[in-house]
This record gives sequence, structure tokens and C-alpha cells, in this order.
Amino acid sequence: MTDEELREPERPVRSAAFRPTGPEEKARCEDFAERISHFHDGRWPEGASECLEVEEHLAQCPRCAEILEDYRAITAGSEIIRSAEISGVDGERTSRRVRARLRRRVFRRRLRWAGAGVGLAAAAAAVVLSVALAPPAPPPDELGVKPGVTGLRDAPSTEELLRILGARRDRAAPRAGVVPVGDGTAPAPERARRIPRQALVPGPPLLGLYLADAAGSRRGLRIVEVIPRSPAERAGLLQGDYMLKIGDENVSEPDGVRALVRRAGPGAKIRITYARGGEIRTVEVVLAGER
Amino acid sequence: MKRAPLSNVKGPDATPGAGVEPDDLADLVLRFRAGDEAAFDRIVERLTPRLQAIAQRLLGNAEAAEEAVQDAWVRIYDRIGDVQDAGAFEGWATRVTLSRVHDAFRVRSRERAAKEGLAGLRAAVGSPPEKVSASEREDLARVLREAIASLDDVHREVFVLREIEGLSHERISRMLGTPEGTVWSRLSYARARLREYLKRRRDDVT
Repeated sequence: MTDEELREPERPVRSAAFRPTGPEEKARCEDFAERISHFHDGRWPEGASECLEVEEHLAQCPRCAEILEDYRAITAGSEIIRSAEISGVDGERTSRRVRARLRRRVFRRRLRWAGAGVGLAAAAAAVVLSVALAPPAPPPDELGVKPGVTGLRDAPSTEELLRILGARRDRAAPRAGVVPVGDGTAPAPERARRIPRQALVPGPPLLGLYLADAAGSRRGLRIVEVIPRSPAERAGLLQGDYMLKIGDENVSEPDGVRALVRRAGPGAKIRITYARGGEIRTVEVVLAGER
Repeated sequence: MKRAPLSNVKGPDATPGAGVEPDDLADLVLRFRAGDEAAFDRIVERLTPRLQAIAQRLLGNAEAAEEAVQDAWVRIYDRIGDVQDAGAFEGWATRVTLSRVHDAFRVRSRERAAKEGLAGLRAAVGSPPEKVSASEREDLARVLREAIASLDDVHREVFVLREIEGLSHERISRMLGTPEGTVWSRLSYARARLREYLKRRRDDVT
């Protein structure tokens, strides 16, 4: 399925005959206003009764004919905007910069409460005291935060301090002054609470492909992106190829591919059948990871 | 598009080192919501080209567009909790971006007002591209950008996705989670408002 729809060719508008527009005419024009937009946008196929109705009306109604001209002009202007050359777009760079911004933001918040009279020493002392008085920190996936705490603008709770100062046992203690990204911003605690630890697995993808959601396409699954330095890339698969089979099994949707790859497991060798430029090819791919 | 309720979060396999290949945006969204920070980075890498292209077209400026998109991602990061349905993420991310773009546009619109209006646009319809000079094209683009910025959010978004990005009505409907009939009628409303704006502009120009 392609993202862009081919526009229907422009329909010629028969020259408008001039007629005085009375209140009756105006009422009918209001009826037609929305239809003119649909007509312009190709809602109905050529020759359909809706089209013929609109064309007939346009032939007799200069006001509406003008509206159609204006809509065409707006589309022409949009084409100009659309055809502008795009420069300097780099998903990875943006991702890095967004990360940097998120980190700076948390750091600024720390400075804010640190500067508000709670020196680091005092904070540390407070922690020692709270740790001594409070029950032992609960296991990571139950670590919650008081509802209503948004970031660290308020004086941090005990849990916040523990987390910031690296009391979470499942993580290496952060360097002083550096707060792990994700802590301190409101959504993170909810996320931490919901998911058991072992499910948060980073790690290389086994194959390394983004596949289009084909919804039963007979052409196979289109590869929309090949992840750099992945097994798929090393095997020579390219964006635009169509995946047809893994081993002897036909694949018709991304979920199917995922299931087959998972079944094969890390380090396994699989044979992928794919189509490129009308040719059917096969390739052996060694999945990432170790057996 | 896969739609998975968020209460039904499926984590990747438990085997350490065996990630799931990220062939599905909805999957990345679920992982991000589950706390996987790397999934967020992947989402940013994947969607930024499209979002920044729209931003750049609407703002007419690459730097401003990049700013706006970064702003959008920070907001998306904060508000991921607002997303009910992983399949609706891209539509929501688009909306957040368009909102930032709109803010940026208002800040930047201290540029001199474009001279052109509907008449100029009309002339551009029939003419082959070579006949319309680069500066005329720029003026036409600018006045239309101002017109688009005058629309309200709901109508601006369908117009931008249809006429600036060229998406099909069906794709727009899926992306925004709006019935297709509504997309058609919102487009009609948007065109009518744009036309009014441009006519007013033309009348203002001496």
C-alpha cells in the first residue's frame, strides 16, 4: 500500500453561463459547497452521478465555478509548498539532541533544589537518616513515587533521593551529578512499577528489519528499512525488497516473521526468500546473538 | 495497524541478549511505555524524517523546523502516558509536532506579509512552473502558509496531511483515528476557510 494517492486528472469545467443569482440559487450553492471540495479532491470516479450533478451545477453557477477555481489555486499553492526541497534531516542527530535536552533538563532540576539551600552534604545526611529510619528499600519493580510528584521541583521524597543517589540495586550507581535519563520525570515511575525487570531487555535485534504492514499483500512483505550493521544488512537485504519466505514458510505479516525468527532463536541460520526487481532470490542469514 | 491495549504490555522475550527485531512501531511504543529508553530513541529516528519534512515545508526554514521537532519530541516523551493505543501513536506524534510548528510559525511571522493572494495563486494554476518566478513562488508559498496557520488545529491537521503531505484519505483516517467521512468534510471546511482568508488578504492588498 502506497502512502500517496495518485490524484485524478483535472476535470475540464464547462464555461459558466451567466445567470443572476437569487436567494434560491444561493441556497443550492450552500448545498454544493461541500461537494465542490469532494469533487476537486477526487471523491467520485469519472462519470459517477455525483460528478455529473456537480458538473451540471458548475456549468450554470458562476459563484460555484469560482469556488472550484479557488480550490484549485489552493492546491497549486500547496504543490509549491510540497515541492520545497528538504535539507538537513537526520533522525539520528535529532535523537541525540533530544536525549541531550532531556538530560540537561533533569540536571537543571537537580541544581534548582540543590541551590535552594539543600546542599549535597545535607541531602546525603537526610538520606542516611531516612534510610536508617525507614524500612529497607522495596525491590525495584515496586519502587513507586508519591502521586503528584512531577520532577524534582518540590523537595524530593525519600524514594526520589534514593533513586537519584543510585540506591536502585539493579543499576550501577550513577556518577555523582549525573542522573540516569528517565528518572525524575513524571511518567518514569509508573513505567518502572508496571514491568518486571527481566522484560526490559535491550539487545540487538535478531534480524534487523522494518517491515511494512502488508495486510494480505500477495507481493510479500516490503522491507522499509534495514538496520545498519545488522544481520539483515550483512546478508545484503535492501530497502524495497519483498520478503516472501523464511525457510519453507510463507510470510504475510510482520508478526509471522517475528514468530519464525524467535522460534529459530539467537545465532540460528535461516534462509530468507525475497523478491527484488521481479527476481526471486534466497539468502542465508545468521541471526544475532549467541546460541 | 496493530492495536494493542496498553494494559496488555508484551515485553520482549526473557532470554537475555535476545531482543525482538523492531519491525513494528507499535511494538516500539509499547516498549517505550514499559520503560525501554532505547525504544524511544528508535522511535525518534524513525519518525523524525517525516515530521521534520512537514515542519520544514510549513515553516519554510530548516533550523526552525528542527527546533520545533525537537520540542515536539520532548513533549511526546513527557506525555507518552496520554497515548491510549499504541497504534494511534504516529497520529498523536504528528499532532504534537503540528502544534509546535504552529507555535514556531506565530513567533516567526514577523516577516513582511506576502504581497500575493488568491489572484497570484490562480495565475500559478495554469502556468507552467518556469513561468512563475522563484520569488513569486516563495510569496505564494508564504501567503498560503499564513492561511494554513489561521486554521484551527483540527482542520489544519487534515489539510496539511492531505495537501502538504499528500496522504490518502484512508491513511489520514487511520492515522488520526477519525472516520473517513469526517476527514472529507473537515477538508471541505478547511478549504472554505482558506479561501475566505485568501480573499480577505487580496482585498487588503492595495
